[in-house]
Amino acid sequence: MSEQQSASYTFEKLAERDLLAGNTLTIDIGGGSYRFGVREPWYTTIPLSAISTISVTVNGYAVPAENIMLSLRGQMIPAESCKGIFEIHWNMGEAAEIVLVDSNLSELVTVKNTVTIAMELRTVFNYGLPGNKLNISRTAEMGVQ
Amino acid sequence: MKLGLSLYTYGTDIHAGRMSVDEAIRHANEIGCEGLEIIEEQHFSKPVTLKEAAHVRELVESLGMEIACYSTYLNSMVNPNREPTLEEYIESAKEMIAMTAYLGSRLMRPAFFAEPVERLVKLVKACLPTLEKYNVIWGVELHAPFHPMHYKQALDAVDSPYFRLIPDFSCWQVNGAPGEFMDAGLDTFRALAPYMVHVHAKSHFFDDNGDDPYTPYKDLLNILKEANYTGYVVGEYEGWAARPEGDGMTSKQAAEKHFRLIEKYGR
Repeated sequence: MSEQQSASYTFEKLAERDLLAGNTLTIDIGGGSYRFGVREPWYTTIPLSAISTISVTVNGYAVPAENIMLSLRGQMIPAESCKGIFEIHWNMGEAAEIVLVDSNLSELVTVKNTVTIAMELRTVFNYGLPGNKLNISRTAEMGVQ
Repeated sequence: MKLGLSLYTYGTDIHAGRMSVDEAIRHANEIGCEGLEIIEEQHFSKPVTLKEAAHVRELVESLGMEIACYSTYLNSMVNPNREPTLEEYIESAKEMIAMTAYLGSRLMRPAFFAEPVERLVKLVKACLPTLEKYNVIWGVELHAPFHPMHYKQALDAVDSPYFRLIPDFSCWQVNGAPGEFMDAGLDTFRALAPYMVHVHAKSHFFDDNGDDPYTPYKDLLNILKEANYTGYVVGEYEGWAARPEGDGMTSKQAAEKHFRLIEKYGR
Protein backbone atom coordinates (compact mmCIF):
# COMPACT_ATOMS: atom_id res chain seq x y z
CA MET A 1 0.00 0.00 0.00
CA SER A 2 1.46 3.39 -0.90
CA GLU A 3 1.66 6.28 1.52
CA GLN A 4 -1.10 8.07 -0.37
CA GLN A 5 -3.43 5.08 -0.22
CA SER A 6 -2.62 4.55 3.42
CA ALA A 7 -3.44 8.15 4.28
CA SER A 8 -6.73 7.89 2.46
CA TYR A 9 -7.66 4.68 4.21
CA THR A 10 -6.82 5.79 7.69
CA PHE A 11 -8.34 9.24 7.52
CA GLU A 12 -11.54 7.86 6.00
CA LYS A 13 -11.94 5.56 8.97
CA LEU A 14 -11.27 8.39 11.39
CA ALA A 15 -13.91 10.46 9.63
CA GLU A 16 -16.49 7.70 9.93
CA ARG A 17 -15.63 7.06 13.56
CA ASP A 18 -16.50 10.56 14.71
CA LEU A 19 -19.10 11.53 12.08
CA LEU A 20 -22.18 11.25 14.27
CA ALA A 21 -22.69 13.53 17.25
CA GLY A 22 -25.52 11.79 19.05
CA ASN A 23 -28.00 9.02 18.33
CA THR A 24 -31.32 10.80 18.41
CA LEU A 25 -33.64 12.07 15.74
CA THR A 26 -35.21 15.23 17.09
CA ILE A 27 -38.59 16.30 15.79
CA ASP A 28 -38.83 20.04 15.39
CA ILE A 29 -41.77 21.84 16.91
CA GLY A 30 -44.68 21.46 14.56
CA GLY A 31 -43.34 18.17 13.24
CA GLY A 32 -42.21 19.60 9.92
CA SER A 33 -38.65 18.37 10.08
CA TYR A 34 -36.23 16.02 11.80
CA ARG A 35 -32.64 16.67 12.81
CA PHE A 36 -29.64 14.77 14.11
CA GLY A 37 -26.15 15.73 15.15
CA VAL A 38 -23.04 15.37 13.00
CA ARG A 39 -19.46 16.35 13.54
CA GLU A 40 -17.02 17.72 10.97
CA PRO A 41 -15.26 14.50 10.05
CA TRP A 42 -12.04 15.38 8.27
CA TYR A 43 -8.80 15.75 10.24
CA THR A 44 -8.68 19.47 9.49
CA THR A 45 -11.18 22.27 9.12
CA ILE A 46 -12.83 22.27 5.70
CA PRO A 47 -14.59 24.86 3.56
CA LEU A 48 -18.12 23.76 2.74
CA SER A 49 -16.98 23.38 -0.87
CA ALA A 50 -15.24 20.21 0.26
CA ILE A 51 -18.67 18.58 0.66
CA SER A 52 -19.73 17.28 -2.73
CA THR A 53 -22.84 15.42 -1.57
CA ILE A 54 -24.72 14.49 1.59
CA SER A 55 -27.11 11.55 1.40
CA VAL A 56 -29.42 10.29 4.15
CA THR A 57 -31.70 7.28 4.43
CA VAL A 58 -34.17 6.74 7.25
CA ASN A 59 -35.51 3.20 7.63
CA GLY A 60 -34.55 2.52 4.03
CA TYR A 61 -36.19 5.63 2.65
CA ALA A 62 -33.74 7.82 0.72
CA VAL A 63 -34.46 11.41 1.62
CA PRO A 64 -34.36 13.47 -1.60
CA ALA A 65 -31.24 15.60 -1.79
CA GLU A 66 -33.23 18.82 -1.97
CA ASN A 67 -34.78 18.01 1.42
CA ILE A 68 -31.45 17.75 3.25
CA MET A 69 -29.98 20.78 4.99
CA LEU A 70 -26.80 21.34 6.99
CA SER A 71 -27.41 23.54 10.02
CA LEU A 72 -24.05 25.09 10.92
CA ARG A 73 -23.82 27.68 13.68
CA GLY A 74 -27.48 28.48 13.09
CA GLN A 75 -27.13 28.84 9.33
CA MET A 76 -29.41 26.54 7.34
CA ILE A 77 -27.52 25.54 4.22
CA PRO A 78 -29.04 23.28 1.56
CA ALA A 79 -26.78 20.25 1.25
CA GLU A 80 -26.74 20.63 -2.50
CA SER A 81 -25.35 24.18 -2.15
CA CYS A 82 -22.33 23.26 -0.03
CA LYS A 83 -20.07 22.50 -2.99
CA GLY A 84 -20.31 26.09 -4.19
CA ILE A 85 -19.53 27.77 -0.84
CA PHE A 86 -15.84 28.58 -0.49
CA GLU A 87 -15.81 31.04 2.41
CA ILE A 88 -17.82 29.31 5.15
CA HIS A 89 -15.73 26.80 7.07
CA TRP A 90 -16.76 23.85 9.21
CA ASN A 91 -14.13 23.57 11.90
CA MET A 92 -12.46 20.30 12.79
CA GLY A 93 -14.67 18.30 15.11
CA GLU A 94 -17.31 21.03 15.30
CA ALA A 95 -20.84 19.77 15.90
CA ALA A 96 -23.59 20.71 13.47
CA GLU A 97 -26.92 19.19 12.51
CA ILE A 98 -28.44 17.51 9.49
CA VAL A 99 -32.00 18.74 9.06
CA LEU A 100 -34.45 16.70 7.01
CA VAL A 101 -37.39 18.69 5.72
CA ASP A 102 -39.60 15.99 4.29
CA SER A 103 -43.28 15.40 5.04
CA ASN A 104 -42.93 11.71 4.10
CA LEU A 105 -40.85 11.11 7.21
CA SER A 106 -43.75 11.56 9.61
CA GLU A 107 -45.16 8.24 8.43
CA LEU A 108 -41.80 6.45 8.38
CA VAL A 109 -40.20 7.44 11.65
CA THR A 110 -40.83 5.09 14.56
CA VAL A 111 -39.54 4.76 18.10
CA LYS A 112 -36.32 3.18 16.78
CA ASN A 113 -34.91 4.08 13.38
CA THR A 114 -32.04 3.04 11.19
CA VAL A 115 -30.37 6.17 9.89
CA THR A 116 -27.52 6.19 7.37
CA ILE A 117 -25.59 9.27 6.38
CA ALA A 118 -23.13 9.22 3.51
CA MET A 119 -20.89 12.06 2.45
CA GLU A 120 -18.69 12.50 -0.55
CA LEU A 121 -15.85 14.81 0.37
CA ARG A 122 -13.10 16.42 -1.66
CA THR A 123 -9.75 17.16 -0.14
CA VAL A 124 -8.94 20.85 -0.58
CA PHE A 125 -5.24 20.34 0.03
CA ASN A 126 -3.51 18.37 -2.67
CA TYR A 127 -2.26 15.23 -0.95
CA GLY A 128 -1.92 13.41 -4.25
CA LEU A 129 -4.77 11.06 -3.29
CA PRO A 130 -6.50 9.22 -6.13
CA GLY A 131 -9.11 11.72 -7.31
CA ASN A 132 -8.65 13.64 -4.07
CA LYS A 133 -12.02 12.24 -3.00
CA LEU A 134 -13.24 10.50 0.11
CA ASN A 135 -16.47 8.57 0.52
CA ILE A 136 -17.59 8.05 4.08
CA SER A 137 -20.77 6.72 5.66
CA ARG A 138 -22.12 5.78 9.02
CA THR A 139 -25.28 3.93 10.06
CA ALA A 140 -26.82 4.16 13.50
CA GLU A 141 -29.95 3.21 15.35
CA MET A 142 -31.64 6.40 16.50
CA GLY A 143 -34.44 6.98 18.90
CA VAL A 144 -36.81 9.92 18.64
CA GLN A 145 -37.48 12.86 20.86
CA MET B 1 17.39 21.20 22.05
CA LYS B 2 13.99 22.12 23.43
CA LEU B 3 11.19 19.61 23.81
CA GLY B 4 7.46 19.93 23.33
CA LEU B 5 4.39 18.57 21.61
CA SER B 6 2.32 19.40 18.60
CA LEU B 7 -1.30 19.72 19.68
CA TYR B 8 -1.96 17.37 16.74
CA THR B 9 -1.07 14.71 19.30
CA TYR B 10 -4.36 15.38 21.10
CA GLY B 11 -6.39 14.55 17.99
CA THR B 12 -8.33 11.62 19.46
CA ASP B 13 -10.30 13.75 21.85
CA ILE B 14 -10.25 17.13 20.11
CA HIS B 15 -11.57 15.59 16.88
CA ALA B 16 -14.35 13.80 18.75
CA GLY B 17 -15.37 16.93 20.66
CA ARG B 18 -14.29 15.53 24.03
CA MET B 19 -11.43 17.94 24.69
CA SER B 20 -10.91 21.65 24.18
CA VAL B 21 -7.73 23.25 22.89
CA ASP B 22 -7.29 24.97 26.25
CA GLU B 23 -7.37 21.61 28.03
CA ALA B 24 -4.74 20.24 25.67
CA ILE B 25 -2.48 23.23 26.26
CA ARG B 26 -2.81 22.92 30.03
CA HIS B 27 -2.09 19.19 29.90
CA ALA B 28 1.01 19.70 27.78
CA ASN B 29 2.24 22.12 30.40
CA GLU B 30 1.52 19.68 33.22
CA ILE B 31 3.68 16.96 31.66
CA GLY B 32 6.62 19.29 31.13
CA CYS B 33 6.49 20.70 27.59
CA GLU B 34 8.57 23.79 26.97
CA GLY B 35 6.71 24.74 23.82
CA LEU B 36 3.85 23.76 21.54
CA GLU B 37 2.95 23.58 17.91
CA ILE B 38 -0.54 24.77 17.04
CA ILE B 39 -2.33 24.01 13.79
CA GLU B 40 -4.62 26.68 12.40
CA GLU B 41 -6.96 24.19 10.73
CA GLN B 42 -7.33 22.09 13.86
CA HIS B 43 -7.15 24.42 16.82
CA PHE B 44 -8.66 27.70 15.68
CA SER B 45 -11.83 28.60 13.89
CA LYS B 46 -11.34 29.71 10.31
CA PRO B 47 -10.79 32.50 9.56
CA VAL B 48 -8.89 32.93 12.81
CA THR B 49 -10.05 35.84 14.94
CA LEU B 50 -7.58 38.04 16.79
CA LYS B 51 -9.57 37.41 19.95
CA GLU B 52 -9.02 33.65 19.93
CA ALA B 53 -5.41 34.01 18.81
CA ALA B 54 -4.73 36.40 21.69
CA HIS B 55 -6.43 34.05 24.10
CA VAL B 56 -4.21 31.14 23.09
CA ARG B 57 -1.06 33.26 23.07
CA GLU B 58 -1.81 34.58 26.56
CA LEU B 59 -2.70 31.15 27.90
CA VAL B 60 0.50 29.62 26.58
CA GLU B 61 2.59 32.51 27.91
CA SER B 62 0.87 32.42 31.30
CA LEU B 63 1.96 28.79 31.66
CA GLY B 64 5.58 29.63 30.90
CA MET B 65 5.59 27.98 27.49
CA GLU B 66 5.92 29.32 23.96
CA ILE B 67 4.32 28.65 20.60
CA ALA B 68 7.20 26.92 18.89
CA CYS B 69 5.49 26.69 15.52
CA TYR B 70 2.25 27.82 13.90
CA SER B 71 1.15 25.36 11.23
CA THR B 72 -1.20 26.26 8.42
CA TYR B 73 -2.31 24.95 5.04
CA LEU B 74 -2.06 26.67 1.68
CA ASN B 75 -5.00 24.86 0.13
CA SER B 76 -5.03 24.54 -3.62
CA MET B 77 -8.50 23.17 -4.25
CA VAL B 78 -10.98 25.19 -2.17
CA ASN B 79 -12.48 26.15 -5.52
CA PRO B 80 -12.41 22.91 -7.52
CA ASN B 81 -12.43 24.84 -10.78
CA ARG B 82 -9.43 27.05 -10.19
CA GLU B 83 -6.17 26.85 -8.25
CA PRO B 84 -5.12 30.10 -6.57
CA THR B 85 -2.69 32.20 -8.55
CA LEU B 86 0.84 32.80 -7.28
CA GLU B 87 -0.28 36.27 -6.18
CA GLU B 88 -3.15 34.78 -4.18
CA TYR B 89 -0.83 32.26 -2.52
CA ILE B 90 1.51 35.14 -1.63
CA GLU B 91 -1.33 37.10 -0.04
CA SER B 92 -2.42 34.06 2.00
CA ALA B 93 1.16 33.42 3.09
CA LYS B 94 1.58 37.04 4.20
CA GLU B 95 -1.51 36.72 6.38
CA MET B 96 -0.03 33.58 7.90
CA ILE B 97 3.23 35.39 8.59
CA ALA B 98 1.39 38.20 10.36
CA MET B 99 -0.66 35.76 12.43
CA THR B 100 2.47 33.86 13.40
CA ALA B 101 4.00 37.07 14.69
CA TYR B 102 0.78 37.99 16.50
CA LEU B 103 0.92 34.64 18.26
CA GLY B 104 4.41 35.48 19.45
CA SER B 105 5.99 32.68 17.43
CA ARG B 106 9.04 32.90 15.20
CA LEU B 107 8.18 29.93 13.03
CA MET B 108 5.39 29.00 10.67
CA ARG B 109 4.82 25.87 8.64
CA PRO B 110 2.59 26.49 5.65
CA ALA B 111 1.80 23.13 4.09
CA PHE B 112 2.09 23.57 0.34
CA PHE B 113 2.01 21.00 -2.44
CA ALA B 114 5.41 21.79 -3.87
CA GLU B 115 5.52 19.65 -6.94
CA PRO B 116 7.66 20.69 -8.70
CA VAL B 117 9.66 22.41 -5.96
CA GLU B 118 10.31 25.44 -8.18
CA ARG B 119 6.77 26.54 -7.29
CA LEU B 120 7.81 26.70 -3.66
CA VAL B 121 11.00 28.60 -4.43
CA LYS B 122 9.05 31.31 -6.28
CA LEU B 123 6.52 31.60 -3.48
CA VAL B 124 9.05 31.80 -0.66
CA LYS B 125 11.28 34.28 -2.47
CA ALA B 126 8.29 36.56 -2.96
CA CYS B 127 7.55 36.36 0.77
CA LEU B 128 11.11 36.94 2.04
CA PRO B 129 10.68 40.71 2.64
CA THR B 130 7.59 40.03 4.75
CA LEU B 131 9.30 37.21 6.64
CA GLU B 132 12.21 39.51 7.42
CA LYS B 133 9.91 42.37 8.41
CA TYR B 134 8.01 40.21 10.90
CA ASN B 135 11.09 38.16 11.87
CA VAL B 136 9.27 34.93 11.08
CA ILE B 137 10.92 31.82 9.62
CA TRP B 138 9.16 29.75 6.96
CA GLY B 139 9.71 26.09 7.82
CA VAL B 140 9.09 23.69 4.97
CA GLU B 141 7.90 20.34 6.25
CA LEU B 142 9.64 17.29 4.89
CA HIS B 143 7.27 14.33 5.21
CA ALA B 144 7.07 10.87 3.69
CA PRO B 145 6.57 9.84 0.95
CA PHE B 146 9.00 12.53 -0.22
CA HIS B 147 12.64 11.56 -0.14
CA PRO B 148 14.67 13.35 2.57
CA MET B 149 16.54 15.36 -0.06
CA HIS B 150 13.36 16.57 -1.78
CA TYR B 151 13.67 20.17 -0.52
CA LYS B 152 17.47 20.43 -0.54
CA GLN B 153 17.44 22.17 -3.90
CA ALA B 154 14.80 24.67 -2.73
CA LEU B 155 16.66 25.40 0.51
CA ASP B 156 19.84 26.11 -1.42
CA ALA B 157 18.02 28.13 -4.07
CA VAL B 158 16.36 30.43 -1.53
CA ASP B 159 19.47 30.47 0.66
CA SER B 160 17.99 32.44 3.55
CA PRO B 161 17.86 31.99 7.31
CA TYR B 162 14.16 32.75 6.94
CA PHE B 163 13.57 29.55 4.99
CA ARG B 164 14.51 26.41 6.87
CA LEU B 165 13.58 22.75 7.16
CA ILE B 166 11.11 20.93 9.40
CA PRO B 167 11.81 17.22 9.02
CA ASP B 168 9.17 14.73 10.06
CA PHE B 169 10.41 11.40 11.41
CA SER B 170 8.06 9.65 8.96
CA CYS B 171 10.90 9.81 6.43
CA TRP B 172 13.05 7.62 8.67
CA GLN B 173 10.48 5.12 9.92
CA VAL B 174 11.32 1.47 9.31
CA ASN B 175 10.12 -2.07 10.03
CA GLY B 176 6.89 -1.82 8.07
CA ALA B 177 5.58 1.33 9.66
CA PRO B 178 2.11 2.53 8.59
CA GLY B 179 2.27 3.54 4.97
CA GLU B 180 5.42 1.49 4.35
CA PHE B 181 7.64 4.53 4.38
CA MET B 182 11.06 4.32 2.81
CA ASP B 183 14.18 3.30 4.68
CA ALA B 184 16.08 6.47 3.88
CA GLY B 185 19.10 5.81 6.06
CA LEU B 186 20.21 7.97 8.96
CA ASP B 187 22.95 9.65 6.95
CA THR B 188 20.29 11.67 5.15
CA PHE B 189 19.01 12.96 8.49
CA ARG B 190 22.56 13.86 9.53
CA ALA B 191 23.18 15.68 6.26
CA LEU B 192 20.09 17.82 6.70
CA ALA B 193 20.73 18.81 10.32
CA PRO B 194 22.26 22.20 9.44
CA TYR B 195 19.01 23.20 7.70
CA MET B 196 16.68 22.19 10.53
CA VAL B 197 14.75 24.75 12.52
CA HIS B 198 12.12 22.48 14.10
CA VAL B 199 11.55 18.72 14.15
CA HIS B 200 8.37 16.65 14.07
CA ALA B 201 8.95 13.52 16.12
CA LYS B 202 6.27 11.39 14.48
CA SER B 203 4.90 8.23 16.10
CA HIS B 204 2.01 5.88 15.44
CA PHE B 205 2.66 3.19 18.05
CA PHE B 206 4.41 2.68 21.37
CA ASP B 207 5.56 -0.68 22.71
CA ASP B 208 5.44 -1.85 26.31
CA ASN B 209 8.71 -0.07 27.04
CA GLY B 210 7.37 3.21 25.77
CA ASP B 211 9.52 3.04 22.63
CA ASP B 212 8.35 3.41 19.06
CA PRO B 213 9.17 0.16 17.25
CA TYR B 214 9.08 1.86 13.85
CA THR B 215 11.18 4.94 14.51
CA PRO B 216 14.84 5.07 15.64
CA TYR B 217 14.30 7.79 18.23
CA LYS B 218 17.59 7.21 20.00
CA ASP B 219 19.62 7.48 16.81
CA LEU B 220 17.72 10.46 15.43
CA LEU B 221 17.93 12.45 18.64
CA ASN B 222 21.60 11.58 19.09
CA ILE B 223 22.30 13.01 15.65
CA LEU B 224 20.59 16.24 16.70
CA LYS B 225 22.72 16.36 19.85
CA GLU B 226 25.90 15.78 17.88
CA ALA B 227 24.87 18.59 15.53
CA ASN B 228 24.32 20.94 18.51
CA TYR B 229 20.75 21.44 17.34
CA THR B 230 19.06 24.13 19.44
CA GLY B 231 15.52 24.16 18.03
CA TYR B 232 12.44 22.29 19.13
CA VAL B 233 11.67 18.63 18.82
CA VAL B 234 7.91 18.27 19.15
CA GLY B 235 6.05 14.99 19.40
CA GLU B 236 3.46 14.51 16.69
CA TYR B 237 1.47 11.43 17.59
CA GLU B 238 -0.71 10.16 14.76
CA GLY B 239 -1.96 6.84 16.08
CA TRP B 240 -5.37 8.40 16.62
CA ALA B 241 -5.80 8.74 12.88
CA ALA B 242 -3.79 5.74 11.72
CA ARG B 243 -5.87 3.06 13.38
CA PRO B 244 -9.39 2.51 12.06
CA GLU B 245 -11.00 1.97 15.44
CA GLY B 246 -8.73 4.24 17.41
CA ASP B 247 -5.75 3.43 19.57
CA GLY B 248 -7.41 2.68 22.89
CA MET B 249 -5.73 5.61 24.58
CA THR B 250 -7.09 8.95 25.64
CA SER B 251 -5.30 11.94 24.17
CA LYS B 252 -3.73 12.68 27.54
CA GLN B 253 -2.34 9.15 27.79
CA ALA B 254 -0.94 9.27 24.27
CA ALA B 255 0.55 12.72 24.82
CA GLU B 256 2.30 11.71 28.01
CA LYS B 257 3.68 8.49 26.49
CA HIS B 258 5.00 10.38 23.53
CA PHE B 259 6.55 13.18 25.51
CA ARG B 260 8.28 10.72 27.85
CA LEU B 261 9.76 8.98 24.79
CA ILE B 262 11.18 12.27 23.51
CA GLU B 263 12.54 13.07 26.94
CA LYS B 264 14.10 9.61 27.24
CA TYR B 265 16.44 10.21 24.30
CA GLY B 266 16.34 13.97 23.90
CA ARG B 267 17.46 15.18 27.34
